[in-house]
Amino acid sequence: MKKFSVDLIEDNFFYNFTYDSYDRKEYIFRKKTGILKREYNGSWNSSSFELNSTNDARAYISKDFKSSNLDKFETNNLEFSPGKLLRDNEFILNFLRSLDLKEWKIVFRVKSLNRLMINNKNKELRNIFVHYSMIIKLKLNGCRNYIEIGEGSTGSFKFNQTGLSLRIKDVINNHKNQKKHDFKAKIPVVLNSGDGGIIFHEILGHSLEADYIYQKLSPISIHDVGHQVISKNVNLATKYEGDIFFAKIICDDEGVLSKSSVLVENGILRNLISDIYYKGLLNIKNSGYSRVEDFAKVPMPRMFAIYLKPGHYNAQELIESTKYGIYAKEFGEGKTYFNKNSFFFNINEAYLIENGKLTSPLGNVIVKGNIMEALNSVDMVADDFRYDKGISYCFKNGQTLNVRVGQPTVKINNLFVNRDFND
Amino acid sequence: MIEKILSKGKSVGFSTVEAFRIKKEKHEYEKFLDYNSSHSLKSDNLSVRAFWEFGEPVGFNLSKPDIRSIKKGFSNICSLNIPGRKKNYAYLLPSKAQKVRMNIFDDSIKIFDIKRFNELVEKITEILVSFPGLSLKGIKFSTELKKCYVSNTKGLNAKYKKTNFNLHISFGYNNNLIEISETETRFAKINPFRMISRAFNLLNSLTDNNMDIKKDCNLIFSPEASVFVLREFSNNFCLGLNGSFKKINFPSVLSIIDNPDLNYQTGSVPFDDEGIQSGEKYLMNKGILLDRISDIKRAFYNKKTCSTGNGFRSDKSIFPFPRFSNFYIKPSVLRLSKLMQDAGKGILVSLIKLKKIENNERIFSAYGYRFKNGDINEPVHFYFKTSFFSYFLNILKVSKEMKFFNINYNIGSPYLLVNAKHLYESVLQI
Repeated sequence: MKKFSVDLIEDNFFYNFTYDSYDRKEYIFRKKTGILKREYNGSWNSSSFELNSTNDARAYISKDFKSSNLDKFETNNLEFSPGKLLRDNEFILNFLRSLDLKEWKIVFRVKSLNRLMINNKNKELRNIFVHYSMIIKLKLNGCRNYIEIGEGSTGSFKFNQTGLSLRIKDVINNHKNQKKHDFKAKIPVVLNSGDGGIIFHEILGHSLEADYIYQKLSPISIHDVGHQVISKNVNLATKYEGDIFFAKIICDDEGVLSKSSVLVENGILRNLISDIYYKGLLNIKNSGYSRVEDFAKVPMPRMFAIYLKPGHYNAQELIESTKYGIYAKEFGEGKTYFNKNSFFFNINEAYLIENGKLTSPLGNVIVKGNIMEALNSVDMVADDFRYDKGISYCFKNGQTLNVRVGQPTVKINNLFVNRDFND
Repeated sequence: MIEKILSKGKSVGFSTVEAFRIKKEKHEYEKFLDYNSSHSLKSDNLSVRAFWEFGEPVGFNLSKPDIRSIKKGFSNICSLNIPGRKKNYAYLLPSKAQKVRMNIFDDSIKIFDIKRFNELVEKITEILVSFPGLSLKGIKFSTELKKCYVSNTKGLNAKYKKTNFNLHISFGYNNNLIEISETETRFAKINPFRMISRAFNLLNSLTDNNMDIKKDCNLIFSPEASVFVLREFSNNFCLGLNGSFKKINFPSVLSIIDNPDLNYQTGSVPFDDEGIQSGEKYLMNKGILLDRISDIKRAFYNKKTCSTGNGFRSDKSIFPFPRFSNFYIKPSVLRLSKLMQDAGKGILVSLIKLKKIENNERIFSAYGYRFKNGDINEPVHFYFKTSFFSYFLNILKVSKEMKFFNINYNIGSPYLLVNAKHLYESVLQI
């Protein structure tokens, strides 16, 4: 691989306001500015420095660099007023107060990320990402852990409070009326449109990441590119027309823009998720997926957004075609174990499907399976594509990033459903 | 600088202000097949917590703070106008800290470089020759120098410095992958041979054959296995988190301690991030539950008179939250051989994974080796079901040999002899 260098200058703000059922209010804000200098010359060398302002980055970057962008960098025009947030969200607060809950907490957050990438040709690229979120944490009577329900947006703090209250109501009723079922064999699972896409992010997206492929951890190998290795019902892309979530991110954290947005086409593997380094190691054509949480860390191949493209079924047909299975409506956390080719996912609101109809509520269940078997068991894909609720996050090697997912309702056969963790 | 921060806070109307500054120098080295990298980080971070006369505190965090940004920080939190009407916990902040000498700093951090990392890689590769079948997947090594300063307007002004060395090795063996990590405050204490032996032992115990259990069984938990269970139930020793705390009598062989005052341990600090000094704290003494760890905030909300000195900040948090320092089961004078002799036969448990949580009970998947008359035999796999109370109630003996592991915090245990009842098939109940 050729010599390569890139400087990443970053300025980020984070505001967090928490209000809880004990009438406690907690407010914090964080400002972090710094530079990450990376250079490849046979091996990677990088260094991070915290700065007081982006202008101080001049001391660390090349003398040839004459950009005036550094002066215009600090653009913290975010409005964050805890008092206004409480007033604007009175409907949801009153709704929470009216519920018979052990405890609740509402967290308002806004994060602004401003990055400037300068590569070895002195080319400058600028990324901006602002993310607003409202997360409601509920502790139900008789439950040990919080259930999280929320919404995120890149525009403002305007959320669908009625929609949120209905979702909360459904989750509470589902837990209150849950009936315990023992699923002994593998069964079909119908995943709700939108947030259900996080499962494809976990089991397919991460399997396509070039570092996992190079390290032979992924169940997918470099030789699979160009071949149909998963169900032909799967069409996975990194762009979806009209989605503005990452609209102001024009390149990855190495200053590269991906040439192709197609990852999987009718089950055929078209591209991997790679950065410049692994592109060279694996001898592939595409990169543009290098991401880093902040300038203090080291970037690695990561996803921005992935979308499972819609199929041609009506969503209702997926449920009607299921004799015995489950419908997963609200999603919690999950994990992929590459060394065992397996994964598990928490479903916060699940229903039993019997003879094509939703019957008993099941409360919280865990869906798990074999990665490749699940990807080959994508049986039906509906036409009701939706984006997630805007609060999808991805954890990898100690770094947390905002990600975007989207999908229509999907039916996957052959998944285990129970209350166990993976072994 | 710190004095200016505190006086600025006072001048804008806060009654009490606390400043926590942490300067870090970190170097990371990684080798994975053809991938070689090094990364260095210099950071200087300030967290401010400010209290009005009443209501919850507000706070801000700045990288590389200067007077201008600190002024901006205060003007931001001042403009909020969200003080509450309730009494807050500012009065519990300490006003002084005594000087404590503690061995948590290693001067050799200054001379560690890529050359020494390459020597370490060579050493590991050389040791691996003696472990047939075990393959090296990747090595990461990091050094960290931390300088912490805590001050508040009540008069506290304290500081300390600390070093950390972490070696992380990934191994492969018979299609299994395992990652072993060791963190020490002194470089000389990092022992690659011990790590490789540990990996070999763990990977060898990974059998798919479920043990055919027909009756009750004695289990000896290795320190690594015991630490896993202890961590799983650690919330019960933490104020304000889930978990019950009933005054019942556990076996008198059992004492559980949190102690930030141990030389060379990674959890050791002369004071916590709120400036509270503490020493050895018995959370359980000879079977009697005595206390739970807390920070100032949780102590206040749970009507305790003071914090236990366990208020720590993570990299991302501005306000402290309770975290253990060095948390461990107190060793006895008995050797492991004595525990094995007393048990006669049973299973030496080496590796545990959490399988299921059901109300207060947990089901663990366990790997280990059968032993009989002091001899260690074939690997076995089984499950056991237990709760916080029943687990600690069934500990019969505790050994002398003790090991610490750094998993989010420093946690240690000796070998434990535990009584388990046969439940069904390969499932035991503790």
